[in-house]
Parts: sequence; C-alpha cells; structure tokens
Amino acid sequence: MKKILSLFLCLSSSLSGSVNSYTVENIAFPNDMPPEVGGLAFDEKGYLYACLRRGDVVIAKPGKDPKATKWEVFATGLHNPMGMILIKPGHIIVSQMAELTEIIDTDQDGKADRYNNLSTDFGISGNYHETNAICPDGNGGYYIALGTASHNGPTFHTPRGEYSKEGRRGRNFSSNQLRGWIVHYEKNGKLSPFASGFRMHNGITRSPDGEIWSGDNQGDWRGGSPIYNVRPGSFNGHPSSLVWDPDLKNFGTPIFLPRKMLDDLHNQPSVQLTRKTMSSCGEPFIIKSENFGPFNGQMLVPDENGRRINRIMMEKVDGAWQGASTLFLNTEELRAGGVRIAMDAPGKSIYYASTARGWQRPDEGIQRITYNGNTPFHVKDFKLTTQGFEIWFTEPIQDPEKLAEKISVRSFRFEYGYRYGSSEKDKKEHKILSSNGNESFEISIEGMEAGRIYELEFSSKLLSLKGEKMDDPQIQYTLNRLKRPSSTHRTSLIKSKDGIEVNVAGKFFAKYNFDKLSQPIIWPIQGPGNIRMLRDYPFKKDTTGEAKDHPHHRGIFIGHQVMSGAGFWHNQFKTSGTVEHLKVIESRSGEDRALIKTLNAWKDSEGKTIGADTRTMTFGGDDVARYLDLEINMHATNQDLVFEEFKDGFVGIRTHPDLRLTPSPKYGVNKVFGNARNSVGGEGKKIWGKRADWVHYYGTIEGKEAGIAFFSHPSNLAQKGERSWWHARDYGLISANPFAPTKLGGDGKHTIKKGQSLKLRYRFVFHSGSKDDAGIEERFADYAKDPGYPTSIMPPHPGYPEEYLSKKSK
Amino acid sequence: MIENRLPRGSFLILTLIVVKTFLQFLNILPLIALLVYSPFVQDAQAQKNNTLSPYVQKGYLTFELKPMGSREHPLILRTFAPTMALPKNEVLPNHSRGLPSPKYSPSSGKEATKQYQPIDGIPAAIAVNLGKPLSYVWDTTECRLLYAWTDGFLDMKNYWGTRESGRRKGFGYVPRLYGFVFYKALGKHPLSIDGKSISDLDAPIYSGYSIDSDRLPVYEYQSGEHNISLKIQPGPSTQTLRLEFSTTEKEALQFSSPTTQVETISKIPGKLTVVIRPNAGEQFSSDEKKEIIKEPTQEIGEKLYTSLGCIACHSLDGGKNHGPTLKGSFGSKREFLSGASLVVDEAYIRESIENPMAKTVKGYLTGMMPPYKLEQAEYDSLILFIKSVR
Repeated sequence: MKKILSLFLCLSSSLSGSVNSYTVENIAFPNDMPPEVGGLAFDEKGYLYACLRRGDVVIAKPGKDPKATKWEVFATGLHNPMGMILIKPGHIIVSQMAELTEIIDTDQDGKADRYNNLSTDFGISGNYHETNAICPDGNGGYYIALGTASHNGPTFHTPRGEYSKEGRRGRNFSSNQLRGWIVHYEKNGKLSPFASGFRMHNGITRSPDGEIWSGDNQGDWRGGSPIYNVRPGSFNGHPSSLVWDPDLKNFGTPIFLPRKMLDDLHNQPSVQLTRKTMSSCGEPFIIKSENFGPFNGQMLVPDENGRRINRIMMEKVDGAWQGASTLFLNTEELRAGGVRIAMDAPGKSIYYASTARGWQRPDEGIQRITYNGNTPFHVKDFKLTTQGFEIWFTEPIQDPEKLAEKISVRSFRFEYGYRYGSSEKDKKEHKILSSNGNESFEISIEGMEAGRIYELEFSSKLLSLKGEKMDDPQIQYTLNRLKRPSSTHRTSLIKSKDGIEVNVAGKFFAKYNFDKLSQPIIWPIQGPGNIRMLRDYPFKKDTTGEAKDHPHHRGIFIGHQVMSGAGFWHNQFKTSGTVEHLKVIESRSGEDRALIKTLNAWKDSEGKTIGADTRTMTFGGDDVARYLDLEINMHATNQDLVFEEFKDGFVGIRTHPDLRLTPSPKYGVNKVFGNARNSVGGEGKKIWGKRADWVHYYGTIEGKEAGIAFFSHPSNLAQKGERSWWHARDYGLISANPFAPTKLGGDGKHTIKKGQSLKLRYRFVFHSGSKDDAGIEERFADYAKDPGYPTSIMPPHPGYPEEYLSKKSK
Repeated sequence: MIENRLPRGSFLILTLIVVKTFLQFLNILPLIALLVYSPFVQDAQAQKNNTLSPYVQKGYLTFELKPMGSREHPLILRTFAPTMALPKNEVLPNHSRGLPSPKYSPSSGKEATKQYQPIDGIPAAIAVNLGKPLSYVWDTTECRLLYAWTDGFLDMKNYWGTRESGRRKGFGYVPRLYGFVFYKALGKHPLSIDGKSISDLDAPIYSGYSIDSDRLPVYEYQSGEHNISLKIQPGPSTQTLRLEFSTTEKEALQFSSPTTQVETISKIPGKLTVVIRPNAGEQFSSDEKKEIIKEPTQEIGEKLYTSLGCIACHSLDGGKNHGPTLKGSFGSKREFLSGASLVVDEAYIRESIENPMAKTVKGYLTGMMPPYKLEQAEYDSLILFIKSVR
C-alpha cells in the first residue's frame, strides 16, 4: 500500500525525492529503558551493540519487525559512553567520560566480565560538557575526541589531569589536559596529542582512504557547524585547547592571541554547514554500500539538534579537501538529537541513533532508515571547476538546455571569532554565465572567490524526466580554495628533519630550512634550466667567485635591524635575536603550486619571546620562470612590536654574485654580469633607496641568461599611495623595507599594537632568458590582482582584561 | 531477553515469559505490556527482597533516579561522585586543583572581575551499591576506597534529570549521596607493601576490573612495580567492610588507616584480608531540601536562570545561541514560525517556560527546549529577572 501511495505521489509530482526513497522505522526499546544511545556498532553475526549514556551496553538482533527487537544487557558501569568500536562479538572498545575502556566477555556467557582501562591520560574537569568519541586508527589503535567544557557549568575543585588557569578562560574552555584535542591511542598503549582546536567534536570517523573526519558544533569560534579533515598536528579553530600545545606556550592566553594568527593557524573546515541544514554535527558516517541509494562513498552527518541528516560530497582541490553539502533526509519522522549512524551488513539500512538529554528536550532512540529502491531525484555529485561547478543528477532531467534558468546562486561568508555562531556575512548574488552538458552539467558562475560558501538553489521548475521535484533543493559548497588550472609544472614536496624541499616539474627548485644561522632560511634556489640563483656563502664557504662580505645575508631571509629592542637583521651580534621555527602549520602540493605554512617565534637575545609570525610560502613555475610567494603575518603576541626606522630590513635576498652590478676584486669577485631596473624606470645603482612596485636584476649567471624579480604587493604597508621602499644594492643584496628611515625616503617607524597583526606580501620570480622574455610587467600585473589567501571576517580583538579591568576600576 | 537477568529457575521468569509472549502474540506495544506486568513483578520482588528497585528486577538502568542494586545484582555506576568533604591533600593527592576563573561574556569576548567558583566532585570514581546493606565509592585516580555507606545510594536527579526534561542542575549536578555514611578515607593511602606506603610511590595506575563469581568488581591497579587487586564486600556485621588485597609477587601487605579500627582476617605474602569498622557516622536524607520561596524576586530569578540551565541557550547580552537572547526581550515584538507575532509579556514568558512547544520564534528550531514545571513563585521570579535584562 505504501509503495502504491508513494508511486502515486511521484506521478503527481507533488512530493518526491529522498523522503519517498527511504522508510523510517522505530526500533523498540523496553518502555522503561532510557535509549540514550552514545555508540552503535554491528558485529559479524548481525547483532547491534548500543551503548547507553547512563552506563549500559545492550545488544539486539534487529529483525524484520522493529517492534519485536529484544535487547539484552552486555555490559554496564560506564559514564556517558559516547564512542564504541566492535572488535569481535563479546569484545568492544568504549570511550567514556573518564577513560578509554576495553570490555570483554571472557567466559562467553553473553555478559561482559572484564573492563580494562586502556587510557586515562587525559583530563576531566568535572564539567558536564566534556564529550568523547572514538574511531579506529587503522593500525589497531584509536583516535579519541575529547570535548571541551562549557562556561554554563563549573569545574571541580579536584579535577583529573593537569589544570590550566589559562585554558579555563573563555566560553567553551580547556581547563584540563588535552580537552579540545583529538588524541591518538596507539596499539602499544601510548597516548599522544594528535590535533587541537576542537569545541565539541561529538563524532569522529576514519574513511576507507585513511582520512580522519570530525564534525563540531556551531558555537564560539564556529560560524557554522564545521566538518574537519583532521591532519596530524593541525589546529582546528577553537583556541582554548592551544594551552596544551608546547609550541604555543610562550604566546600567552590562547583566547587572546591576535585574530589573524588564529586564522592562519586554523585548519579551515572542509565543509561548513549552515543553520538551515545543521544545528550541531553528530558523527560523520561514510556510506560504504551500493544498496543504499546512489550515494556510495559519500558522508552522512546527523544533526544533534534537529530532525535531519546532511549529505556531504568531498573532493580534493589544490591539495586539500573541501566539498558540497545538502540535506539527505529532512523529516519529522526522524527523532531530534541524531548522533551516530551504523549500517547493517546487507547495506540497505542504516541505524540512526539519537540522544539529546542534557542539551534539549530528550528525544532518544534508534531508528532504521531503509532504502526502498526508488531513486531519489537529487544531486548525485557536485564538483568545483575553474569557472563554476559541475553537477551530476541521480536522474535525467527535463529540458537540460534550460537548466541555468532554474538555478540561482548566492554566496556568503561566516565570521570566525569568539561570538556564538555567525550569521551570513558579505552576501552576494551571482549570475550564471553559461550551462552546458547532458549527463553532467558544467555551469559557469560570475565572481568565484576563495573563502566563501556558495549556495545553489534549484527552482521548483526543475523536474526529472519522470516528473519528480527535488526535496530540499539546495547545495552549498565551501569554497576554501579555487580549482587550479591544469599544469604541466606539477609540484612536490620532500620533507626532512631540517626542512622541506620543493620540486617543480620534477626538478629541484628551493629548500625551506627550518633553522640556518638563527632563523629559517630559503636556500638554495635553482631557476629553470637548473640555474643557481643565490649566493652560497655563508652556508657553503668554498664556492669560487663569491665575496664573503655580510655573512648575515643568508639566502632569502627575513628580519629587521631593530624590532622592539632586538636585532633580527644581523645574526652575529650580542644583541641579535633569533627567529625560531616552531611548526609547519600546513604543507601541500600536487597541483600547479606547493604550499608551506609555518609558525615562528621572534625571540630577543636572551631568548624571551616577543612576537610571532605565520608565513605562507607558495611555490610554482612555468617554462621560463619559477615563482615564490611569501605572505608573512607579524603578530604582536606578547607586547607591542615596534619596528624602528632602519635601512636594514625586512625581506632580503642575496643573489648569485654574477648578478652583481659592480665587481669586488678585494673579495675575489672580478667580473660581474648583472643589470638592475625597477618598475618606475630606474636603472642600475640608482634604484637603491627608491620606491617601486618591483625591482629586477638580470644578466647572465654562469654563462646563461637569467634574472630575479622581486615584487612588493600593492596592498603592503606604505605611506598613503606610495610604493615599497627598496634597499637594493649593487653587490647582490635586495630587500624590501616598509620601515626604512624617513630621511632616506622610507616609511619610518611602525608599531603593531599588542593583539594585532601586520600582513606583508612579496613575490620572487626566478627566470631564465632575457629580461624581456621574462614578462616581468605582466607578471606583476597578475600578482597585483591576486587576492592571495583569504582572511576570515573576524570580530576585533576584545582587548586584554589586565588593561580594560584596570581602566574600569580607575 | 532482558528478563534472563532474573534469578534463574524462579517462578517469576516463567510467568513473565508467558505473559510477554502472550502480549507479543497479540501484537500489543511493549508499553502496554509493561503497564500490565510491572506491578506484578514488583509485588513478587518486593516480597522476596524487600526492595522495589527496577534495576534489580530488570537488570538494566531505567529512568529511575535513585537506582539500587542488591547483593545478587550489584549496581556499578560510573559517574561524577560527591567529595564528601574528604581531606583533599591527604586523600586526593593525585587529583589536580581547580581554581576560580573570571566570568566571561561570550558576546563581547570580555572578562569580568567576578569569578566562577569550582564545585566539589570526584571526576572518575566508580560507585557500587549492593542494596541497603552497602554502597561505596572507589576512585580510579587514587585507586582507593573513598567512602562507604548504608541505606541508600546516589540520587541521580540533578545529573540525569527527569524523564521528561532530562534537565541537569546548572552548577550543582553532582549526584547526591543519601543514606548513612560509616566510613571515610583519611590520611595517606592505607596500603603498604614491603613496609612502604604506596602513597610514597608514583601515582597509582588503574588497570581495570573483573566481575567475579559473586558478581562483584575486583579492582586492579599498579603502584610502582606492584600489581595489586582489591575486592570490596560487606563485612561480617552491619556497617563494616571486608577488603581483600592481593598482589602478584607475594609481597608483604599491610593496611593501616588513622582513627579506623582494622581487623586483620588473614595475612600471607601477597594476600591480605581485613575488616574495617566505622570511622564516621553521618546521615544524609533521601529527600533534597527544597528552598521555599516566600516572595518572588529578580535575584531568585537570576539564580534559577543559572541553576535550571536557561543560561545554556539564552544569552543575556544579545549573543546568538540555540534560543533567543533575553536581552531586551520583554516588551519586544516576537515573530513566530507560524507567521503569528506578539509583544512579549508575562503570559508569553510563562507559556514559553511551561510549554515551549506552543510557539517557536522565527529562525530557531522547534522542540529544542524541554518544558519546565515550576512553582508559581519560580515562574514569577524568572519573569522578574527576564524583565530586568535590558
């Protein structure tokens, strides 16, 4: 009867899509059993294990009639167990409030009799909000997601694990050891930190390709409900947990770090779900079945606060994951509070577990969602193109040539900051420029920008050939990165202990060294045709024809003569500070560009941390040139950063001696082959101390025509309307300096107030061939238009309590 | 079936199976089945055990907020546990110390001079109940028996909330102990091995427990090089405890606790059985004292706002959350999902607390908020408070 009814509805096209393709049934529980399901798993014999939050683990074999489900108690005595993995019948691993526990029925009488503590090496504050979840690591160990506490509840006088006063601050907080982290429990019993920056990641999943996925809840530092691809060592946006990151321990209270620093550290979520489809993410679930409709391999995410399940289509773009989301099932038949999903062996049904006790009206239980074979009319897959998106539908559509008329596109951004959630900011409508295709459709869209969420809505006029309308006809795409053009100059990275080597088109281009003579250094650099671009000295002392002057000119280096009382240009003096590489925030490659992003501490001569930088280096190339983009963000973490006006600063390069303008027989440089010019027509030695968009040194290096151009992005700090000031010498030093003395025509002293940041962007072009073949003017025009990596919309820094509270009391 | 947890061979189980099978045959919902047979079970069980705890009858935790076990069916509950004024430095040395922390405004990101205060609670304990004769709390962090009592167990209401609301008590959700406390841990860890108190070794490491043939947990932990196990049972007379320690390497074991009478039952290398006698005597009522509000006030409303948990979803500073902010709400216009609208008045606030499903404000999810059945003076106090949030 039901089938006939739904067929009728399809034909009348008044209702269709997912709701008619999946049936929802309630699995029975004894009326007095609280079915607050925290974990769910099937064993090989078809028994379903469910751990309940008051402490029991119960087992049933769901049959055809869900009302006839009979539950037996397998284990008990667990505190808010929210994660469960089945090893084999009678043997499970459970994460609970206080521990990771192995539970075994050793005598096989159907009741567990052994409870092994696998790990308690993480804190519990006593706050009610600290969730837990687990997934396998693929090697016999587990990842455990440890939620943070909420300021709507207290901590105990006697918590477990180290307590941090700094971690206790803020809305959701990490007062005790490793809260807000995902930790790795290895098979050998060792527990180590894996990734930080979570708020309430109530659900973690390992996909068949070995990637780790975690949802999180909208809230502070969460504009929407994010889904993270959890990279080892990554920081996933919520700052409190950073108190347990030794690399950040010298920068003060994490919630007061400069906003841009947090934004740069943040592993941007692969997908952001909006309030329209998700209130708070339950555990992501990967469909591994051809029998559950046309979505095999995609991710389902239930809503902890709503009666709906989202469907996610991920793809790797520019070396990292991002993707599209839509509603999979959105029906009042579902219980609210969806947290976990498990699939039975035939793969036709999923079991959807919900619990909401403690955060909203209780709505607990397990529901079975079964595919009835009616293909839902919806988007089957959705991918980014260089011009727009490519769309696949589950069914052929009517009038495919008119598709563009039936789609509207808008976009918006979410705020990243301490406020709870975000409304849609900076909203835009986008025109569809064209639509092509038959089986899949490529639509090109005006105004595609990175750092935005795009929403496509299909109008009710879009019908399948069978006449069906689409349920919930919206797709959202989290566009963190634009699709890169295809390139024959693919990049790769080779990581080692002391640095990262970058290859372009299979040839060595550059090495980023974490520590060379007091700071991270880029050296050596080989241009196209394997031309050496930099002076080897002081790293190599025996290269012939090199002058051994200025030993602080180290490859490509960053520093300033005096910043807040310490010297960072020279490395050989007593007053010299150091720039310490703390960590690689992210590195990726594979397409036409490679990226290395690092965090560094600026320390004075006594080793005291005074500031930080995050720097993003992007490497790529074509037939005639290699380029290196440097975006450096200086962060006033510990105090005001004062760049005194001096000529020696800020980003410097020491070229191959052949590019020198003048010889230096005293130092063994007898012949030179270099010329210089700048963007405003200056030439030779005269470009020193002048303002320009770029400078260009060219000539022949070791007998081959080559050159180096150095661009300063027009957005860089400079007096109003002015270009960058260049410390461009005749002996091979070129530096761009935004803090040069005013009496030399520079911009003078600059102060970054504590809690603020300064962004500076530069590009180096290393080319072969003549100065004209390199097309420097065009390359600069492209660079000037390049918006760079997006910066999130962020509420301003709230200030430091020690300042605003003392002002208040005065 | 669940009912298999009942004592085997009892007449009851047969009756149950018959009744249940019959009902299933009739395809009647389990709800009705329970209504029919529950009183019957309870009567039979009450006659036998003089207890009515559904946990003992069913073998699983129910919605009951004061669950109890029995000697045959011990109830093991992992939960936050009360601290019971134990001396922290001696008894809880392996716990860290929570500190006051500045209050925080999530919408301005600023801190205030006022502070949040920590509360008492043991984060990782195991609470066990064998019916009226014995309850105890053994802690996995200290690997130590913390306290024991009779005539009651833990009242979970403040933590689990009622079936309808599932509401936790805002800043006071640690389960409440009721009954007669006769033993409390004092001083250093009472166990010495080869003449050395294990308090002087590295922090003990909890390994786990086995359920033995008496259905009792036997705890295992490591201290230094030693692997120790402990079984806790009721002693020979009321308000006594029998502790059986054993180690794997046949070490010399000794138990000593200040101001506690300890009787050694047996002692051989690697094994020690002692009976400990009461060192405390405190009665905790099974009913929570409820403060009677004489007159509704804004201050009481503010306290309720925190303790009832309104704070979790409704901000005071205009900040967005699961529910609308209370800031400036009174007298403002509300638009509902239904399309209707009204100006927020006392009647609307009262209705929103008592029956939140009645109207849902546009932009929010329906059914998020549980209904709150309060005293008239509590509603009035909350209304006064909400009015004051401008």
